[in-house]
Amino acid sequence: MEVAIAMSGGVDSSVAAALLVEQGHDVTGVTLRLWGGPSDSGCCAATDVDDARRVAQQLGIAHHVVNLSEEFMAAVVTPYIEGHAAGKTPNPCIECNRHIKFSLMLDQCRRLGFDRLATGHHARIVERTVAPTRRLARGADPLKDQSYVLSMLPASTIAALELPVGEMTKAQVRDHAVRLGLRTATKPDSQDVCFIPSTSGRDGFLSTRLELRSGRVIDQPTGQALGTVAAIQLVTLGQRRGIGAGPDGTRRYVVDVDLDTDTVTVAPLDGAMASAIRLDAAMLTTTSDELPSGPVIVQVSAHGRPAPGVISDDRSTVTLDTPARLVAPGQTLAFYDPADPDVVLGSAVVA
Amino acid sequence: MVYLDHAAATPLRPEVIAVVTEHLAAYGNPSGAHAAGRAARLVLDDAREEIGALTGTPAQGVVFTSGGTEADNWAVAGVMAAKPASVANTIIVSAIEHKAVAEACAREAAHRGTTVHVVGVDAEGRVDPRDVASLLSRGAALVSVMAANNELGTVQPVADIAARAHRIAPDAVVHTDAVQTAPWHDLATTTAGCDLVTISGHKLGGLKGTGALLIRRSVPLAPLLVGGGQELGHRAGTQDALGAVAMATALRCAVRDAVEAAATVSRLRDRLRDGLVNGAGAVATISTAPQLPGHLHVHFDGMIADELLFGFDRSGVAASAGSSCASGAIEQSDVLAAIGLAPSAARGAVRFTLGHTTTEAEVEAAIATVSAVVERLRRRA
Repeated sequence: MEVAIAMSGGVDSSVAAALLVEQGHDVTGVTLRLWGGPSDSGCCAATDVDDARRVAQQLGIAHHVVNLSEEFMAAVVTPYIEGHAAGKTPNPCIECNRHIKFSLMLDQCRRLGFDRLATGHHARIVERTVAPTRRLARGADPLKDQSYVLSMLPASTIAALELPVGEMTKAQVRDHAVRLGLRTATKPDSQDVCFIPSTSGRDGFLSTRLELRSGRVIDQPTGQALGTVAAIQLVTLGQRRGIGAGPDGTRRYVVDVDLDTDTVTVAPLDGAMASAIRLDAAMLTTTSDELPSGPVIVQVSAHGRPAPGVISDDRSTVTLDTPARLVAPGQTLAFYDPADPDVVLGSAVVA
Repeated sequence: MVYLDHAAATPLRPEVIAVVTEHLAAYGNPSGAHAAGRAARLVLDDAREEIGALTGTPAQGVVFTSGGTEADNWAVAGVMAAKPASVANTIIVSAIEHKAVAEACAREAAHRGTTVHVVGVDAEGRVDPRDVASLLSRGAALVSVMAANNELGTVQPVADIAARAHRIAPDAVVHTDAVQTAPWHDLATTTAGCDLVTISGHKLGGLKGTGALLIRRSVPLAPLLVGGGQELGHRAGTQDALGAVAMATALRCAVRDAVEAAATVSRLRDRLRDGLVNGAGAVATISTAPQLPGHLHVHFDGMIADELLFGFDRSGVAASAGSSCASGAIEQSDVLAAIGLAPSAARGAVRFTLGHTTTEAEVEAAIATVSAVVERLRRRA
């Protein structure tokens, strides 16, 4: 097959490319240039492009750099900033996967005549008997599983996708890279959002792009004012960090953020727990031909603990079997099959 | 592979391969006071003299550099550093200079407070010499307008500009980047009157890492590199006799073939243009301006250059998008902005450049391949 492999310059996509070559495919490496601003991780730094190119050279495959920075700005960075301005907490990696990697890039690969697009994500494509037979599933390494950030992919994309390292643990990936002598073998994993420098972090990034406002903090049980937060747009539902203790000395959690009145409401932990999560109807996705409903396993963050729940018949709400910390609007929920718990059913965005 | 990126690098001329092979094992340092040094010095000085004779430059004015970028950087920084205090701290450049000139000017502006006047160009990239003349009346230390643009291939009236400059502002030094022109046109006439001329070896079919600044007239010029005082104090560093003889040989071949190549290659270029306009929906960026024979600049409306190049590469056609940054990603071209090409058109701009090895069969293959790739890419998946 003619396969395009998205090479970020990291060890996972390096090994993914190597595996595809070993499998005898006609492989071409593609590195996306997404972000022109300061960055210290992810796929945009010139050194990462250099690493990707060097690995491609070592594997004897062609390598191209594709500039989608304008599209990335429009589809990922701007909505990320606007989301925070509107009191939401979007996941930029998921939006990048949704709008850039598995949309524009996949479309480009198809038009360039590639049969498949491969990435170095730790997730698997598994075969099932019921159509669609190619299903997205958790990666073999439970600590590195990235199926959450791919959970919004439609069946048509999964059909064109190859995930060569999904069957391997991270340690196996690194071992393979060492065996092949790839320069990325010991490169640290990127942890952060690629367009946010770790030195200034999310708050630093947003503070130069949003007019941050301070907000009053009100204690829900007592009604007392507990002071202020410096930037209400950076406060997330369920957050504990930076909130401090209530009048009774116990920890407080954010249970409401009201940007109209610039008020943050906090409560003890049981007040910040809920079973029902409202879903944005427009953002429901499925990995098959039917939107998920009924019993599901829910994962609310990249490495969150999977929890059983039930999606309502009208798909407006998912109700967890046991209450969990509040999930902020804009966050993605990944749904897995209770009868086949590695298999991704679809995703939703919290309303 | 059909190679249509000759303006980036062109295959070595067979004569160059022969002469480089002949001299490859010679190891003497041309500064050495012994037989090995003298042997190298002979090769170097012969090359210098030949390049001087071929370009209308006194032999001692041919100063070898590491390439076009160094020669451009040096012309700008060297003139501004050596300029008498009485001469205006001003540079006049065109809006479509190579980055090696434009960035060097930006550095003068940042470090010395130099005023950089940028002369605009018309929709086909032409500088009007009258625009340069009107700026010159206020005085300038340096005028730098390239002899032909690297992206578009548009040929500039640099001899006219030089004549006006010398008349209006006798203190001004006139530099021209003739890197793209040298493979095609006689520099003695096309760059007549220019005091400093940049050429590059590998664009001629010589070796990469070679170039020269041609100093036609003694002008105040500080060296960029100092050290052992080589090149009559103009450029320190052990001299590269092999690179020099390769460049001289390549230039000799280019001059020898110039008349025939201009006719043959421009005919092939016209055929490629017509084929791509009719077969692939390309729009030629230049229609009436004088152009180098090998250049074809087109844009594919609504398409993206790096995607096009990716597709061409997969199908065995090598072209370029004009300028690319260090990472390999394609960035917006200042040249296309200067000619007022709409951003949507500029995003789909591709440069095909033919060279001394291009054949009719290659051009026909390129037309067929490019048309097929463009059609496939235009389809929505």
